Amino acid sequence: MRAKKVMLIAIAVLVAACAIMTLFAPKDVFLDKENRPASSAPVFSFNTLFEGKLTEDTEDYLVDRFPGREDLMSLYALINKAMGKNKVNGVYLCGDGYYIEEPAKDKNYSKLVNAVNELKGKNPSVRFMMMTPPTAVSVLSDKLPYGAYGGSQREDYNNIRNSLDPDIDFIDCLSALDEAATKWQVFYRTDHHWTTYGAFAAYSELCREEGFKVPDIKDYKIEEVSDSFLGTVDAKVSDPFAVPDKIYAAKEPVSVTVEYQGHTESSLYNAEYLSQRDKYSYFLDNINDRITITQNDPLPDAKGKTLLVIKDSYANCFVPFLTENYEKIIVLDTRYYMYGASSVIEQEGVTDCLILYNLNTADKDAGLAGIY
Amino acid sequence: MVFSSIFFLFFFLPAFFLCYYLVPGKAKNVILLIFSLIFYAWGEPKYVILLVISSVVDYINGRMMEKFDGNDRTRKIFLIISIVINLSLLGIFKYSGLFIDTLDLIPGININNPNLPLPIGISFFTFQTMSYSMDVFRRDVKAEHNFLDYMTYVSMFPQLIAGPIVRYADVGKELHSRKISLDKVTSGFIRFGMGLFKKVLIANGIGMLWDECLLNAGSLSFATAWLGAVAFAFKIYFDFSGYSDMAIGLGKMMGFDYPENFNYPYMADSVTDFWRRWHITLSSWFKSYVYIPLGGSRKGTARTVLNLIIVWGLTGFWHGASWNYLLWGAFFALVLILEKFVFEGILKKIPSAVRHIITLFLILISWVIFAVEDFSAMGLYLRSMFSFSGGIADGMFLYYLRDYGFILIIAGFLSCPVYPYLRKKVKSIYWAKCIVFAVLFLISVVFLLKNTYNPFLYFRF
Repeated sequence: MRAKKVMLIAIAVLVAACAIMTLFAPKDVFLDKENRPASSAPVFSFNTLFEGKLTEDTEDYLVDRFPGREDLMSLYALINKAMGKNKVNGVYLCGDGYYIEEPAKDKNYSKLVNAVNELKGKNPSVRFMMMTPPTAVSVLSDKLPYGAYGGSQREDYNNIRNSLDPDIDFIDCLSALDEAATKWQVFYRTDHHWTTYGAFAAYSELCREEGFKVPDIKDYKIEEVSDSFLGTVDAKVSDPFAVPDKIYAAKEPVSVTVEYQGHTESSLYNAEYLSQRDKYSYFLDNINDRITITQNDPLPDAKGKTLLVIKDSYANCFVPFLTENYEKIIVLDTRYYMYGASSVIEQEGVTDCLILYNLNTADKDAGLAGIY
Repeated sequence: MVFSSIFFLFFFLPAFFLCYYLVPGKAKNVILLIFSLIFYAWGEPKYVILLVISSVVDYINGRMMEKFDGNDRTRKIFLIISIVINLSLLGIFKYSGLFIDTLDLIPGININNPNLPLPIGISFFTFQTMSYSMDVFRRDVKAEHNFLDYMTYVSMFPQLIAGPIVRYADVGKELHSRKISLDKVTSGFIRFGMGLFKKVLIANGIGMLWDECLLNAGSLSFATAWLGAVAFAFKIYFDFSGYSDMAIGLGKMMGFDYPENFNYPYMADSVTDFWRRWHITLSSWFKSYVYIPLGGSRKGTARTVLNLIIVWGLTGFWHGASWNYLLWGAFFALVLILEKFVFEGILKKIPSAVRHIITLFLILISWVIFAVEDFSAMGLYLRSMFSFSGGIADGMFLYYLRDYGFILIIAGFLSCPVYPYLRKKVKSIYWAKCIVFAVLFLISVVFLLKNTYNPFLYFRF
């Protein structure tokens, strides 16, 4: 009898405590790990109620503020691991401490290819390069759990190559990555991006294709800038036993002036991010709609060449290598830059154009079709 | 509102019980009614009106049948009114879309589909109110005089959206006076917690396996196809019986005794037996309000066969507005008729293990018919189950087996009457039980919070 009372009271107190803590949690919370603000308070109105939005918003609001949420998420990962799961929240738990996202189910890459072909058609005098690096799920497929579905990025990659306007240089970064993966860590273990080494391998391939001097890794001053990087894929899993990644970055090969939105710097990197969770943003200062990089003392081979880079975040650690080859580089993030690429090409006298999207973005993001 | 949400568990439910336990006896029904209406309106404010209409109609019918006690013709008219109105609600809000779409297939016919969203729980509450009218008509129960009490019966939130289908006869007495004891509250709470665990951890967890198999329906290996069917069998059992457990548990905490809805259905040794153990309140509803009034099995073989076909066609169709559910019902009609009239003698002679295997085999096939609304996908899936075109087993099979092995074992274990067995054999240690329960509850909350995969199966019912 007493034991039952004790149990019921204990549970009632616990539930009440959780409810109160959730209700009185601060209004504005930033969820560091998920890199987003917590859902805002639900608005009660007849519209929200009748559309069912109130129901959803309330649940989101409460879930985001539940006491000990992040620890409970880690517990979720541990329970799943204890149950022998190979996949937690859409992420494969792979060999050598890798966490690799399962491949996208959508297949939107042909929209991207059409858009690029069209952009080339409109600007026949501009030299075009296209690069669509596959992600870790394909390059490091040997690390996936046995039998796990690895998607069809390699097939998609070839389809892109074959359906591309033959006047566009297709940079075959896949074979470069495959080869580099045997000697370097080309993808982060806890993040969905490639590493500086992966980017370098792809850059070497670009140089070969474009007739630039093919570089050696020793030409660069590559230094470790962080040893405690837990990236986006880790955030999805929340495995408390994840081993952090190291971030390496290549020092700018030439001296440059970088115009970000609202501020001008002499560096392609923003060290402020290294003390935050979102450390990949160190490269090219996270998200800027438009960045302009100019060589301070134009190199003879680069003189007069203006490169437009249309890209996703894979380009952020890739662009530093390009600074040697072009006097001016304009970097557009089309997901955020709404004015279109064609007008930039015209206004800035662009001579070269690089389109760089990883295959996951190309497949998932149907909005890329509007890049021109 | 669904049970498996943070809002329900940590806000709605505590607020409800606080009010419910504080107010004195008679007022409890009012509290229950108010919270039930909020519960329903939270997801579906417009359709509260249907709940009210259905309640008002049958309340009045009940009173009228009582008033015209001596006049059987008049009583019959009121019964017919009840059935017509309730079936019309179902017809309009649940099946009209399907009928219109089907008619539109005929060239020359082009009717606009209003695409009415399905009112949650309509299949359950219309069946409850109809059962009441039929029971009053047969004089099995007395008509309810207090409208609020009647409305409380129809709308009680624990079983409002996914059963069990509680007949007025089951709870009529408790509706007016019920005892709330510490024992009942504790055991009710534990029952609720177990239901939550079944739903959130097992049903949701294993549901993903089925979804992935269905996605690749055309290219599955033989073993993977069967594994997928097993996954669906577990998913629907743990989802549905978990929901019933939660409903029964909550009912207990309020002092109600709802009827049991599941009795280890996968332990059945024939399909007939399976339907005595699966969704018991539904099959007994059809038995007492359709099968037996039609004459049951007392009017000769031909009539019995016809009655079985009618009952199982309706049972299947009740599960959703899509033709595959009708096919599913027809499949059971066929199997049950064969069991009853053709193989009865043989089934008695073969060893029990074989009977179990045959039963599970048939049930797994039935679940594929049930689960796949699109007939071509269903065909593809069934082909994978009955051919080796995708190989006998492949890497994917081993991957799934490893990925879902643990949950599969737990699900298999809980599908057998292990707990009742242990209870008989092992002396219960109360604190150990509490710890196990607390851990399971915590795990359930963690999985709920993750919330990435929390589909609700019963929107189709």
